[in-house]
Amino acid sequence: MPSRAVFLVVALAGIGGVIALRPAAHGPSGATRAVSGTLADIAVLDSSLMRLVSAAHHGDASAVRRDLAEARAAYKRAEWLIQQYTPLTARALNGEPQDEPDEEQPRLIVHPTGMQVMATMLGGCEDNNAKAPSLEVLDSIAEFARMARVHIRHVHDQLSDAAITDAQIFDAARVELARLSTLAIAGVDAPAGCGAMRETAEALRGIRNGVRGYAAGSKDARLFDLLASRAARYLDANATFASFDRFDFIVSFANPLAEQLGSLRQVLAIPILTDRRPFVASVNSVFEHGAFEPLAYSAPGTPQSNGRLVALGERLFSDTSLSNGHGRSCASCHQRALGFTDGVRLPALLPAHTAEVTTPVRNTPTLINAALQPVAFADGRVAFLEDQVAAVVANPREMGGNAATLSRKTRIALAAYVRSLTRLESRFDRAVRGETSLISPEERRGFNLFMGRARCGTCHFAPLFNGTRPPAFEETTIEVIGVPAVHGGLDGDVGVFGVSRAPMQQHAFRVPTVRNAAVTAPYMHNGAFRTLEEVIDFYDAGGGKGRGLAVPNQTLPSDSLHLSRQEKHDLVEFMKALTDTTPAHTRR
Amino acid sequence: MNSRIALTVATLAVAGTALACGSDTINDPAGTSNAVSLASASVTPALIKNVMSGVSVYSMLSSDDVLPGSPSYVFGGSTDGAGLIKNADQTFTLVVNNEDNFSVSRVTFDATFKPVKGEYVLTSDNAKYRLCSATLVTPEEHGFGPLFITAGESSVESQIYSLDPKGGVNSARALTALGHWSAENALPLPKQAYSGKTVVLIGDDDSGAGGGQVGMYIGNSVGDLDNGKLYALTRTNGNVRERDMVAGQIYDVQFKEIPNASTLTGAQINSVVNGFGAVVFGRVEDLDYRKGGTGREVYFVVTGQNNNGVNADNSRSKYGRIYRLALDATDPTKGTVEVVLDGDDRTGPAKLMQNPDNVVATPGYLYIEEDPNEYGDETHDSYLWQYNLTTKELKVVFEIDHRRAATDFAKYNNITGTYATASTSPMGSWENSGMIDISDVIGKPGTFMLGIQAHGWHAARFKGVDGGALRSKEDQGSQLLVLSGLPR
Repeated sequence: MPSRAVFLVVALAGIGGVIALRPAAHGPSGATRAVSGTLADIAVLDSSLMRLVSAAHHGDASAVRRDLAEARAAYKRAEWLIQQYTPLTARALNGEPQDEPDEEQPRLIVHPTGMQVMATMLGGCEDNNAKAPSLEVLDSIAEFARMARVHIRHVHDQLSDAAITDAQIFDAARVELARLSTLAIAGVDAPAGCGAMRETAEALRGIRNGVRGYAAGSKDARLFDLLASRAARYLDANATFASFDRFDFIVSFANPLAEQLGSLRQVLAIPILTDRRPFVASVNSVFEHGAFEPLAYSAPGTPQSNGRLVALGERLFSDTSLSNGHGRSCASCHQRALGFTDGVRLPALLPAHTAEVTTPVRNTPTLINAALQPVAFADGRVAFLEDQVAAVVANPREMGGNAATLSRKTRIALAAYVRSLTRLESRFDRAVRGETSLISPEERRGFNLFMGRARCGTCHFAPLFNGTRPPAFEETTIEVIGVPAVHGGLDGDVGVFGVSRAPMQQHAFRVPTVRNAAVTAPYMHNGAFRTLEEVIDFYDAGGGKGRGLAVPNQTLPSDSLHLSRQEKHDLVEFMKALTDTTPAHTRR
Repeated sequence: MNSRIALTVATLAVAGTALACGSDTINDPAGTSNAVSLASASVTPALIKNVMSGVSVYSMLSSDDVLPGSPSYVFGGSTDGAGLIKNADQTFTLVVNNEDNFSVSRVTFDATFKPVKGEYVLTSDNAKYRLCSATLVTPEEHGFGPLFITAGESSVESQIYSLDPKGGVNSARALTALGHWSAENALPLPKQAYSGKTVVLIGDDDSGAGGGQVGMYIGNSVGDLDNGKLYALTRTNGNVRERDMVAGQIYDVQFKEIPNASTLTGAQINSVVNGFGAVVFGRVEDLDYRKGGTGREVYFVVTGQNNNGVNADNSRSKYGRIYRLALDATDPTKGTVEVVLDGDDRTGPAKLMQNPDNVVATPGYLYIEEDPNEYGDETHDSYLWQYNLTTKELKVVFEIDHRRAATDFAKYNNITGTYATASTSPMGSWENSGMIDISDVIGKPGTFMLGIQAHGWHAARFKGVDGGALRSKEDQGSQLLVLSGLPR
């Protein structure tokens, strides 16, 4: 309670760096200093929003705009610890400005809150000549700000109460660097890309301040500090969203920073957190070799994989006896030469000789990196590979096998084999790790477009380029883009709605990987597009809705991207640099 | 502290003026007289039907009622976990969660047991999370308190709160040592369970990839909620799959320590317990210990989750289960678990069970409240079940009445409000919740209080009644009932 009272007084006075906020019981000085610095940023966030409310009541739109920018900058500086300790509140403060279905009552729509909603309501970027918002709009922005202040007080309380260790500080900083180099530079939390680069710089400053309490003056600490300050300056100096060289930023700044943070942690003998998660806790950068643990996507209790299990899985993969006399195996449709797809729009089906078949027929997806996602199937109807394997084998139109006789061991072995098909060694991967000459100028421009103006990277998230959302990589994105049927009109497949019964998820699908797209045509859940050029044209037009189809709840913006021919070419070239279908090897 | 004292005084003052027999005039040190006279006090009909014979139903309070001592107070929606205290002046204080309002109400009942005044003792701005079941801790029962322990159930970020049932408004304290869970309830065991210790069981209502766990906190002195250690339930053979346990068998379990739990985030607690083999249940809800015994015989509810997504392999319950956890006489981290009722056995004794949620364990019975998941195959509206621990007989006490055939149907089934929604299921979209045994508190044996969460009942005047900004659009109504004539 005392710290709460202090906080409110400070916030009301609008004072910034207040060391008096430092809670006494936080143990080592590094963590204590990091937390108190972050609490000071949180106080600035709060006072900015307080001023915003007052400005909104006076109808002063330009002051509202300025206060929101200051609030967002302060949020970004505090983001690394807010996200680590209060991820739900982080979403309430700065989540995507999109409706979502309620988890328990799918027909219920949960409306977004937070600063992205406020920014969207204000319209336009800070430096644009946006139309002045009405008083009603200013009023509702003020209401969102008041709600945000409630959340902010809560973040303050939780951070003050938590026993924050050095290990948590370094983990939070590491994860934030991953967030910046995948989401922030793609403008994921900056509506219309406004201020994305400057806000990324603020987030970097937050980490820099947080790490400053550790071994200041030592070589490793100085190096990290210098790099972080140079990276922030680079972002400020190259703040134009459309032309920002994301590839250069990752190679020259984000990766070296992650590595240097790891060195500093090691020198200080600060332990690594040991919990198992997709973005491996002992890895520095999300672009590094071995950054992902496929088993983290398995059900609790799934046994560790080993060479024998994978070999068994590989044999079973081509074993037609699983199909109960239909002469089919997994490999019939998932052909290695075609990136484990079948090259046709829709798979050839077995005659429907059994009772009702309820699962829709969809384009065969690649199995390479299929392990690196928290849900399986285009509609996300199962979570774990073991269950997906069982569902496909037992599907009377696909393999016609018998689920009852499919042993647990068979399922585990097949899933282990699919997990072994994790390949993140494409030319792009090697280039982003430092072998920059491996990609061409076109491919590099294509990556920058993908992550920037073409807005691909806001759903196909780097570095997996599927819907698995960084930096926790524990959730997947589903989107409504309005894919047409082959013969015109909106495709009838209801997608995720068939599982969730959430009306706003009609025609929504899990975002698939773009890796190996060069060898896995045709594209989309129904195989509607034969070439990558057709795919790019579809997005450039604003998806189904942009092409004039009636698509309820399309989540893809329906305005045109206005991509030039050269830009489309560069995007395709970049996607081709994501090919890695080399034979599987056994992990660990 | 100052504001806390001031408020208590104010509460007494209001109660004193509202009642003919306020605290000043009652002087009954022996406590021999009992002015309680059960009678319906609400304008709302009891929203239940097909009531077991011999049971009397009293409609005590609903969102439609105006209380004389607090004309502007509106009882919130989705009433849930509750605790009742008798005051020195013979009045009663009820502390009760309004789940979807993310808030806690405090209602004063006069000496006859009629509600006379209400207020929000915790608003959404301070609770921050959905609050489900709760536990009232008293010195008589637990050796410390009084405290109302209420648990946040909104993702891994949630915290468990402790609040003084007679304390100041918004003075709840987060119990950080109890960790971050998507917690339905945190249940301290009674003082006789482990002398000199504080043992708290936690139900983790998590439907995600890591599933729900049964957690435990152990403090090494009575009332220590701050310096203990945190554990999660494992089977001694390491099997994490819930439905590998079947009725009629007894399984050895051990609560394994979550090292340095107080330094971990909720997401990390989840992955640590999954890493050491905690049993993965299909959403652990309420827990209760059997009254009148050792305090070490605990019943917990798994509500179930559908057979898709993370439960596509049916390893977790779908329709719900009731488990008995028998803890070792000296070491709370050891014990056995057995399936008492299995809703997934669609030919067994609990074949009609639709997602049990809350449980009350009396000396002789379990009372089990349903909150159907709306799979679409529901055969009835939410039941209150009675399970005889001796004869194993399972009976229905009542069924919720959605007023489907009544002239006021539209009022209780309003699907046009802000948060209103048509159900995906033809039956069972309402729940009954937060049942407590009030026999000893009001001096009437066989008397229970519980809530009806009438999820179709929405009205503009119910909007944001707790006064917080976070749930300002929440607009459900709900109801508190008293049932008497139920055996214990």
